[in-house]
Amino acid sequence: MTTTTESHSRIQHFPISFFAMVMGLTGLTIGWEKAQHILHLDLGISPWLVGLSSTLFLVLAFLYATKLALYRAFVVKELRHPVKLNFFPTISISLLLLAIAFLPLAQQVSAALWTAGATLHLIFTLYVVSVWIHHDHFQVHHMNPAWFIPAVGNVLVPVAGVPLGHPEVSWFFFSVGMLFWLVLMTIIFNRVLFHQPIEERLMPTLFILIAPPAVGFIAYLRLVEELDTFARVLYYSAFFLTLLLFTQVQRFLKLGFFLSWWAYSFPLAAFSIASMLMFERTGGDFYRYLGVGMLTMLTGIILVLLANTLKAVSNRRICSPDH
Amino acid sequence: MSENQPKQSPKSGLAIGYLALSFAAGLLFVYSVGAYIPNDETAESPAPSTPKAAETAPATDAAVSPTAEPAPEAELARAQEQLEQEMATTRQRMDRLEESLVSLERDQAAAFENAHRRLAAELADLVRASRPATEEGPEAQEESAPAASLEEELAMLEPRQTPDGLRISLAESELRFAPGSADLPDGRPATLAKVAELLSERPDVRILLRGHTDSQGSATGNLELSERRALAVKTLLAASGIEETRIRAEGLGEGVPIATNETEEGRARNRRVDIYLTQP
Repeated sequence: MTTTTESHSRIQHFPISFFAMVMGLTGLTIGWEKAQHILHLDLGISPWLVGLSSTLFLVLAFLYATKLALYRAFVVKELRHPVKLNFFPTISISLLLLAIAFLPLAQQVSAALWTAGATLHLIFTLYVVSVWIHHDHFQVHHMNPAWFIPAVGNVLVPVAGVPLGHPEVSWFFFSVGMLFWLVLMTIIFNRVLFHQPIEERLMPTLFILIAPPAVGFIAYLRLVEELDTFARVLYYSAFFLTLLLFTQVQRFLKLGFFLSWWAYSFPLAAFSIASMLMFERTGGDFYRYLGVGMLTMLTGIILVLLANTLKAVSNRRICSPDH
Repeated sequence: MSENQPKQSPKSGLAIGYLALSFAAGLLFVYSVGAYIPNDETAESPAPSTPKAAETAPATDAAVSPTAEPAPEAELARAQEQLEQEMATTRQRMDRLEESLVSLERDQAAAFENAHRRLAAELADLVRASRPATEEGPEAQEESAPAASLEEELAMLEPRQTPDGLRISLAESELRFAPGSADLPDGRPATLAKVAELLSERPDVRILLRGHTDSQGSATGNLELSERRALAVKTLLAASGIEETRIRAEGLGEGVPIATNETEEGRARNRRVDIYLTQP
């Protein structure tokens, strides 16, 4: 993307998409919190997972803040980049997810994280959408599933928002998220069907398609309480998209490792949690097995992702100019 | 896949196996834990908040290592060991829940005892107060002969403290309805007379009547029938001079049986009207 040489500090190429890691790990944390709840178990892992996710977030936030302070121009470049732009809301999404993970542990921390996350997310959404509208450089091949990230974050707000006592604010974000979900879904299918296929590096982001209906389902149950028609539509949409993507698993596995692989993690966590919620509401054993099975599979995937990320960082394949 | 980044697919079979294995580990996990669910759930239902609290607290007593989350390899091998730890944890939690259940029951019993004693005291007052005025009405007279034991009789009706008020169930004693009918048995049931007297002595007490049916017939028909049963009792109470505004009648249909609907005896018990006394 740039012409900069290797001699520059790696910090300046520190990619914003690193925050997708926090999304995945926090998703995993919430998933295990939920699984222990429905299985009536206490494995004692929740505080550790929450601690790990929060620490990772703090480290990444510190690194990115350093980049902002030292290499402002590179941050601005990322903000103008048609794809990377969409990864900025992963910061606010991380905050919102941490708010959910902290909810059963420390409500005040959760409330603070939620307020910060929701506010920041609104700003990011407004910014991203206004860039979308007033663009002069977007082509159809710029459209990729990462564009869903800002939408997903909006849907995420009610999950902690309702228990923290902000139902109307939650409805606002939920509506925004649903609105953009439908619009973006249409555009992405338009691109995939009629235009160039998605570039290899961003293929895993297709998994983000699962997130809006899965997270939407979780959020909607918070807002409406009862498992009604719309909740079912959301859940089974997520179900279908998960099935669809798993039938493509051969293709995904051929890909080399990129940071965008982390995009697998969060939507799978969301679907796993949605299935466990479905079990709670319907009592159907199928959902319990599905939810926990997805969760252990996700755990396996995340371990591989962590290993690959560490390796890539130490091999200087991330934080290098073209990444 | 976990070793390096395959550009081609020779290792993708391995990767699929890995994914399938980690998914299967989850299924195994649920299956092994699931065996304990029935016991656990019955112990848990009265105290739904306890598991949450127990779960979120950093588990000091649970002897599970924080890294107990499944590792990628050897996951199945470790599952067994993990399982036993989890079983131990589950048992501990069950014990804890049972304890809390016992203490909960003790609390409830104490609350019921208090309410019962208060009611008995009030009734005794009432009986004492009504003795000079026995000429007031025929039913008062009827009652005043054994009036000394009114308190005992009301106690014999076994009022139960419920969230909706003090409940007196009439089905068991005398308010049995014939199948499909909302007609009260001939004559005035003594229990109702006692309730009516209590109500006339205590203008602050309000009453809620809930009609029920057995499971025979259609649900909608039963809903309507149960309401008619409640209204029949209301009419009777109103006839003894209780203001209708103090009496609320509603029908709950067949949904709240107190006995099995499989036998005639059980169905007869389910065709009933429950009386709730409340003090707003």
